[in-house]
Amino acid sequence: MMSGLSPDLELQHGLVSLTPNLRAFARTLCGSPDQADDLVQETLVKAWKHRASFAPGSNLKAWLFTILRNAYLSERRKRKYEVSDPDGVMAEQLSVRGEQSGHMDLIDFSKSFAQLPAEQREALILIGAEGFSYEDAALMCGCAVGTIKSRVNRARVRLAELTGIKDGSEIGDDTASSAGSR
Amino acid sequence: MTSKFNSVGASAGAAEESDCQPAAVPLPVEAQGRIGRQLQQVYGQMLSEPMPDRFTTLLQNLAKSSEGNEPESA
Repeated sequence: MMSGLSPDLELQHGLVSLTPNLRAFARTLCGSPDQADDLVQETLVKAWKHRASFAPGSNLKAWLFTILRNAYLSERRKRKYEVSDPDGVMAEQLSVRGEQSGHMDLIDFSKSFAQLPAEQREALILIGAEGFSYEDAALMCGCAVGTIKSRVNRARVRLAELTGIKDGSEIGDDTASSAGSR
Repeated sequence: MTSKFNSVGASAGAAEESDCQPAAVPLPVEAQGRIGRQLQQVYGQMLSEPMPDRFTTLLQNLAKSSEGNEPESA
């Protein structure tokens, strides 16, 4: 753990390596890539300004994600953010690649994901994409572990409904797209 | 041992209305797996994008600003 670098330098390395994660997380929260990047910028500035409050060796990603999350909620309260684009930022992201590579199922997934409530998107990303523990996610979101589990489960159920992933059906199967099946 | 993450810019977050709905029946494990893989695939693509210059520049500037400056406590 002791690398011989100053805490500032170690933190800077940490920020560099985690900025892609912050950008991805911000995009799942925000309505546009530009707003997401503005949010990440604000997060990095705040994190550096308050770096004395970060305990070296503790969970840097969780600390940064919490700062970003709080900044997002604060801006949302000020109604700085528009309502999310219904097609979703992730769908925009993938639409070009999808057409080229045939990954239409990922576009469906992204569009379905964008329809989830914000707290479900957040919980699913923290648990299912970033690999935080339920306990850590609950701490970061300021709620009970059971609430996180409930949000994750609801998100999964809703995604399954919207994308047709259920009962072992593959996306693209005729049986998966028929309404009301099973 | 996890530390309290709630520090910078924190404020109480109210429970969302959807939290009060009855819990949904858990999804079958296989469906969970499929969703998880798609999620990670989409998220992974976002992670692997090149970083815009604005962040590279910002991070370099932050490091420079620490020379001679004392960091603030939260």
